[in-house]
Amino acid sequence: MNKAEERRLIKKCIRQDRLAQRMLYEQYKNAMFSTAYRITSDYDLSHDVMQEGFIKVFKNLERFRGTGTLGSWIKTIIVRAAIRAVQGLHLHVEIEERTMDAEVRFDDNLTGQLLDELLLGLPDKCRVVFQLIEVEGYAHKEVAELLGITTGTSKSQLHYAKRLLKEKLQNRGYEHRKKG
Amino acid sequence: MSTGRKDEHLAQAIKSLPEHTPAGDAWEGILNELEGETKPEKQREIGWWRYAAALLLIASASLVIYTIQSGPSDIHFGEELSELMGSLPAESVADEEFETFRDEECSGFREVCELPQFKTLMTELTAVEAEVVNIAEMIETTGYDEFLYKAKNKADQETIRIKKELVKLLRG
Repeated sequence: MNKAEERRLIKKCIRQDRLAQRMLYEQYKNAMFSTAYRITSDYDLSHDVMQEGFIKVFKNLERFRGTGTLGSWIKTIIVRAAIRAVQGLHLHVEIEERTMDAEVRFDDNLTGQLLDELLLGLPDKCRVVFQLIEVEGYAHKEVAELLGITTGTSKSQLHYAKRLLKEKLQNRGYEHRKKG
Repeated sequence: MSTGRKDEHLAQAIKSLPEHTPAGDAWEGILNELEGETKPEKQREIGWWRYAAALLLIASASLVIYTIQSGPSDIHFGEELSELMGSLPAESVADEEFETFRDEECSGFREVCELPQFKTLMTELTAVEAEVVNIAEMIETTGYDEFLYKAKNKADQETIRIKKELVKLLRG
């Protein structure tokens, strides 16, 4: 869909054209559901997130200024809804602010399918941070603001996530190549 | 947003993450709500209480920080705590002792045990204790990791802080 088509679709959605709203939903549903599912790790909860998120999208679409992409705008709404859905996470554990993720490296045994599977098995806190930083591309500062934590906590949770992913990979027999 | 990835293999795996698809009837729920058939009244109600609880928590946390900072600096944290615990059977704040103390204090009807502030702290304590267990499991799984140890230490300290606050409330 090009920009002009997207603008037309948005106008129709604002006019509460149900068909247009359905089209917009169909266009973004998989990407948004994937994000919601990896944040919540709960299939049913992800549907609640989708419902809450898309209702908000349709009610606020006239506020979309078009400065970024529509997909990014919708994703921000979905991410916030997903975070609210998993509220109760206590992300206060904070350690020194240092660059830690460089210590954990993966090899080419890590495929998308395998990563998806392993991610869903991670503890809530570090899974959410990993998803937001590594998959969605948010900065630690943004994640800290979204989750109400410090950047140090965000970094430490990302480190835990990578350590655990690495461990899970090794436990499955995907041994990291030893140097030499 | 930033994309400063250092690990190529990880970046590649992320690029090829599979998509998940919502259930076929997911749109129906959205449509129903758009048509006004379902209204999230309950959510709005909960939202208001969440704000109130958050404010209460911030206020109580500020009070504790102020109390700690304004106290005599040469008193060791453990001593300060045991002083606060007063009638507790031992000087330490071992879990069992704390739980016994709390159970005894709250066994009869005591207004303080019903306070939202008390309940919020108890919820927070449960979560932090779960976190301590969680990190301990991570340490057990991943082996020695200084960051995990430091994080556990922080969580342990947080547990003590919450217990201290609870004891203060119980002792009025």
